[in-house]
Amino acid sequence: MSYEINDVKTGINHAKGMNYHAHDIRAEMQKLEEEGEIKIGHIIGPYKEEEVMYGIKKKVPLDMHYQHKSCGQCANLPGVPRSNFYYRDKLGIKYYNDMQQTSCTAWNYHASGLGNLVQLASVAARNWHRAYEEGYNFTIHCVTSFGNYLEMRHLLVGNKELRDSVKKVLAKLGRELVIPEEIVHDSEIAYALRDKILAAADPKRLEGIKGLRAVEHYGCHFFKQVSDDIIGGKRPIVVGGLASHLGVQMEEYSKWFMCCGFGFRHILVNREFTRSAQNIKLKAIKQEVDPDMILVNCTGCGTTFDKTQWIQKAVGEDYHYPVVFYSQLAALALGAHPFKEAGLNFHVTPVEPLLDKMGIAYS
Amino acid sequence: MAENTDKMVIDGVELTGIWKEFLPSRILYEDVTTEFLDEVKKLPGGSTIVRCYQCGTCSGGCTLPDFVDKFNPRRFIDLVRRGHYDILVNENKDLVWKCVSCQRCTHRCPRGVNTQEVVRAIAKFLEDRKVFGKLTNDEAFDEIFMEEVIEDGRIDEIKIVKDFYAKTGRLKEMMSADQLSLGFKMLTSGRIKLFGGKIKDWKKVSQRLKEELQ
Amino acid sequence: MKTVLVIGGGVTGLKSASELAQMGYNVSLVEKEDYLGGQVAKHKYYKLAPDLRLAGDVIDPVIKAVESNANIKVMKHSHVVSVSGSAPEFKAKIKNSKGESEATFGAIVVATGFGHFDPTVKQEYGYGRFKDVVTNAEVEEMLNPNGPTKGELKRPSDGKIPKKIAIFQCVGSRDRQVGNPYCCRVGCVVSTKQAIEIKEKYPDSEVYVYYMDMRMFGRGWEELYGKAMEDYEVIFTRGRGAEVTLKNQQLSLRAEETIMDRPIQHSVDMIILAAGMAAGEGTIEAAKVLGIKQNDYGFLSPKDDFLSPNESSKPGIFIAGADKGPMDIENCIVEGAAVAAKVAGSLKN
Repeated sequence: MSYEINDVKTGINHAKGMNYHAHDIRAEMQKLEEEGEIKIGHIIGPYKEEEVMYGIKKKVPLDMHYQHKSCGQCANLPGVPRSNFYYRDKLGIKYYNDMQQTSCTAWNYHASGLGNLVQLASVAARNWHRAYEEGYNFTIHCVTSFGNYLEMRHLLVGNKELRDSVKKVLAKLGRELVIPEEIVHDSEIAYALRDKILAAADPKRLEGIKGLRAVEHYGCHFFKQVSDDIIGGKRPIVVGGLASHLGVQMEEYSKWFMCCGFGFRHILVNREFTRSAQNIKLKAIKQEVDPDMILVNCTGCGTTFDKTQWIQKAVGEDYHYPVVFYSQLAALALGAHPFKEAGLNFHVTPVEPLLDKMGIAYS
Repeated sequence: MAENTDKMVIDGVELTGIWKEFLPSRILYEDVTTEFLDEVKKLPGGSTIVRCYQCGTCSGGCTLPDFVDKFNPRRFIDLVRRGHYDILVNENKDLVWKCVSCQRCTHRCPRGVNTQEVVRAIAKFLEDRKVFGKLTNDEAFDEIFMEEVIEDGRIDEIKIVKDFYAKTGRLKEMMSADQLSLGFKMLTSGRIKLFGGKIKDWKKVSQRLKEELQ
Repeated sequence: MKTVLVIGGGVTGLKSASELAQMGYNVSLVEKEDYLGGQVAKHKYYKLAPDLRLAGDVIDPVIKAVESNANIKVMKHSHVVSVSGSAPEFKAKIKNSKGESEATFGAIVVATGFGHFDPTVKQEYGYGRFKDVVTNAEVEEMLNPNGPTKGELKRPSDGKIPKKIAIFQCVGSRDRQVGNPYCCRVGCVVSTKQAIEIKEKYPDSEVYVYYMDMRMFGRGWEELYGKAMEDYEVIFTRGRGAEVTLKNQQLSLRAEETIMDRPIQHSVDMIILAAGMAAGEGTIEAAKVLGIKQNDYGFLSPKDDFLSPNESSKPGIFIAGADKGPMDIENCIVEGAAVAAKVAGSLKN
């Protein structure tokens, strides 16, 4: 059942009472900066305002991007960060591919269920400082990192003890505590840039993309972990919005909100859970929609959807849905080679049928 | 999960045990059905089942849960009303019979549900659908008790004990030393008689009862 | 004889205006819409709980009496721009399409009422995304024979009559996520009433209500609940609606059947959201113009909840009705009468 993606316009509605103020962390950050407690990494260059919810707007930086890469993407699906760089090259956006970036270490945190809070916050602050000292806006490739950094920002702004501990650690590295003005995920940037991507797109590629049917899936850590700073709020629109702008027809299915089953710990030691969750998700996708592709923005979800379709044969189901990341879709629209530049050959589920439908040549 | 060592080969890859395990889904239903509610509603004693709104006063004061695990009149009624026939049969078919008719539930229900009668109606509903295979001891005793009452108009202690053991296939147990000595003691102390008296003209009443209960 | 300014021409404002006029006072009734009757008229309420009495019987005679009363000056399509002075001499500027006028009043009654919570912000319910997710107020309009669908309950997406309808309770009420932790008071009874109306009109339909608690404390409300369950076979499930997606052509909802301790995924043709009550636009504006105190949720605060429930924080300005908090129609009428008595008492000196 297809649906339209509209920009979110919730507004501050009188019905929520005059004294209701949605929790806007930016106001608190401003106050801390005035007190000299923290520094804010203000946005450099042009930005676009997109609505989050309750009328709060998020400034999405459109240039000078510090690329905080994802461990899972670089290891499993290197096509995705490659596509991220590709579409920026095509649009003339400057970016900085940091060779000194560390992992956000959130995989360990989520998989083990234990967190050394000072360590997590210090790693986050160290990466933030890297972007600040190089003079770029902080942007994130991975949804897990995104959720983690949102949480760290929330905790650092709210807790003086934590800030002091982190500052001590950073001092040993010769760094200071700088919190970026906006924590932005790459899919939100692609969504904000959708007009430019459409304008710069290869018309032949657009012809091929037009009319394809897709379903979208968002990582849980993208919009469920810290749910008040995502474009689209509690029902994000970034992937579907970009895709439908490029001509893809988005379809709705009854398990839209369901977790893909990746689970961090589950994918390592409890795989029957992942398989079973995928069973329910894929069954709904097949019976209700039978799309041409599954669009995702999360490393873990993309990997899970990609690699768990084969084992469904054990219960007599046969699935062949290619998994495409939002940035790979944008790169394909801009004319990228599907294997050399968008990296679709690294996907387990065969993408050749989809490329045939799109009319893209490959060898 | 039990270790499943069956082998399965898919596309030339061998999978055993945990590598092909799937967890069953617990999502309950797509549609509520009122089929069973409508049936129980029409059984004698079952008409007030529609009034229940699951407050739990009946189960709160029920005598059975002190001794019997999972006996829960509120739950029996809810399962019938929501149409969860499978769960009713699997979990509860041995339980619904055990109501002792103390009437604490009926006495207290704020909605006017005749709880004890409804539970009996649910038991009858299950019986009509023949869900019972081998009879449990309670069910067997219930059956021969009713048979004797309808046939003879009174209960003969020796006869009923013998029939009970026979029906549950345990005649040998009855012939054991301590059972026989117990029986002898009861006979000699006048607690039971060897031949119980007959009721005058019982045949007519018996006939009428049989017609009614059809 | 001093004149009283009554702001708001809904149920409460109409009652207080007619009571004051009966006591011999002159009243100026200012209403921002071009009709009297407030929310009852705006959403075309058809039948009122618990007796399913026609709303027209209750409000039309009152409106007629107020409009024909020589002591009441009704100003429709007008609003109060500013108020200066203090009791018992308030100077109020009232603006309408014809221009601005100023008058002196001995007392002011604020009866500006409530507004419905906008469920768009509860994005998990898909209000605004899926056309067949509607609110109680919209269904009320549909069920009225003089309404937009001539009394037929129609799916906004394709105009067909839905066979399965789910009603979600507590949307925007009892919800800390949206900042409205209070109970809206009337959601339970309005949904039960609508469920009965739908089952009466379409006996083959199936109506499901998903609730946390059924709060039926008013006159005849508990009996109405019993009637819905026993006579009309409305199916009540304890478990608040969690999310709404689409499955093929139907809406698919997720909830838990808490008594069975398991989740359910259920397809229906239409979902009705019982959107709660919040402070209305008129109430927020009135608070700003008059400078009277509001509580944490935007409703008007009485001077003392027990000892002076109809006085606002400023002497000479009185408050009544649903602008103080969620309230049902019967209680609003009583509030209208109570505030009239209070105003009369204050002006006697």
